[in-house]
Amino acid sequence: MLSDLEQIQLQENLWEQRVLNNLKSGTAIVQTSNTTIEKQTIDLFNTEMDSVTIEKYWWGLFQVGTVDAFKTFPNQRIAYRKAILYGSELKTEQKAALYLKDNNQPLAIAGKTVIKGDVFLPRAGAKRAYVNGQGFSGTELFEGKKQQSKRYIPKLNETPFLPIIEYLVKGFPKNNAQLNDTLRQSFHENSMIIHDNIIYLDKHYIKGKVILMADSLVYISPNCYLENVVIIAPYILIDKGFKGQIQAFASKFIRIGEEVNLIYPSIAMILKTELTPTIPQNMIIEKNATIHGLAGVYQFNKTDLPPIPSLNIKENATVIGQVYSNEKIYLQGQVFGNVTCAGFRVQTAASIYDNHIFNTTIDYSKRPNDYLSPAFLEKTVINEEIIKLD
Amino acid sequence: MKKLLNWIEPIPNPSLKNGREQHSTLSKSRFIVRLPSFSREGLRMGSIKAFSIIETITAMALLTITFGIAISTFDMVMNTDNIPMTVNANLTLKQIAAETKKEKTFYDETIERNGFIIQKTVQPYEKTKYNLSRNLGNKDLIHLQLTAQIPEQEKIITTLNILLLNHE
Repeated sequence: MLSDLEQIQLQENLWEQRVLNNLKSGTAIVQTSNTTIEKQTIDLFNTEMDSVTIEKYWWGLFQVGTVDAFKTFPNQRIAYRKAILYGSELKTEQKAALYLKDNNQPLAIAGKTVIKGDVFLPRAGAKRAYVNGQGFSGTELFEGKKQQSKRYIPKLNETPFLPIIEYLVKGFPKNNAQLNDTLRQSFHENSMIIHDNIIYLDKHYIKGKVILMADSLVYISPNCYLENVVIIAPYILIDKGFKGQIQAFASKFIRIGEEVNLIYPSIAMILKTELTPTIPQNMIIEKNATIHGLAGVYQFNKTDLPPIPSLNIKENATVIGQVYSNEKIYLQGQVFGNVTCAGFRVQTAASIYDNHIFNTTIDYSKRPNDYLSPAFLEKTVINEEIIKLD
Repeated sequence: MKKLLNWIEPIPNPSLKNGREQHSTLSKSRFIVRLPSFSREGLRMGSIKAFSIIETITAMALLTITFGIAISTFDMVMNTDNIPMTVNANLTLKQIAAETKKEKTFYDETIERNGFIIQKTVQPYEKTKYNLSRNLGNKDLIHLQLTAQIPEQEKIITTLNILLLNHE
């Protein structure tokens, strides 16, 4: 009898090992897939004993892969599961400090500006310039290899944006969950959607597969804890001192307050489906705020560039990752990573300087080595593991 | 013993008047022995001590358990060699799978290790049942199969199947 028990225990251990191996195999399938996978159960090796359920879907601008490996006995079930957030390796253009669209103007560099890393510049190149009487104080305009940029910035991968745009333009679904103080949703389950006219988050704890959608405004107070949450609304206000990991998509305006810390991998992005002449700037990143991830503005309507910069990164604000905009940006803070944009503008009390950068730092070498990008550009391969999820 | 003494009693001697004297003369007396009687009268009077049915069942159960433990211990001792063999074979396969992944030795080979012959087969993973190969673009996915057997024996002890990424 003891021997039988030992044999049963041994068999259980062997099955457990086998199920764990199947979990690894399922993860490998999900990882190599460059497309989404509908939820399905497969027999891995045609043995009818190695079943896994796999799924891969978009989560904001990232993808989530889920794997459930299991073995069912008459009176027992051995099961292991895993959910992983996938990002993509940086493309060549993203591995540079700066990609400036060729708009037939040279980049004018003034003041204590530092550009470290390769640069993609217009045919006219870069030149020293003066802003408020301050000339360029460095020795080299940039420290890196120079390549010529094209007349357009690297194209957007529209696939992950389509559902977000659809929500923003056509409105939000009405079947939704209630906004409780604490919300947790596993990535193995269906999305929990919270929808309201205005969503006011104060002392809320929200983690996991939760989408917050508002018809007008989402306000986030510093007393909240948000992790892996997707936020979609015309206006998003993140108040001073908030810390969390979010993907925020707005159609009109995002303000990232002072001392806000958006933890990697976070996204703050304006998706403009219509002209917004009444809003001078679409995204403002206030002083001492930090974004670990992507800050971007994208105008879907192909119109001439608006004269006013859509993205304003204020003094001492830092983006560690990527800045991407097909409109002009006003860069006063610093970027440790890549800046891709259609143009720059510096605005002082006295005058406005187009295609100028002044007293700023763009340093690609300070980007973390293990940084992975959201899959927002065309032809990106999304199969690099960022973090494990619940 | 006490019971036995109860069956043996001296023939009473009318000349003896107290117990002390009676005891001292016991060895010199003649004895009669009363053996347990199975007569109907004896049974009715309850003079025979026997086992109840509960006691009997309990005893039988104890005997069965003891016997069972003895048999299974014997069986375990006899089969002791098989358990470590399977465990060892599995551990060896796991080790070789880890080495294959680390060193990227993605080719077929036969390896002798820990007293086993390990057959390693590497092939592209082509799963067509759910049309996955088309959907997943899994050209970098490798199916590693490892089987362990004892030298000079046909029997396969254990098999390990796992998918690995080529670019890992």
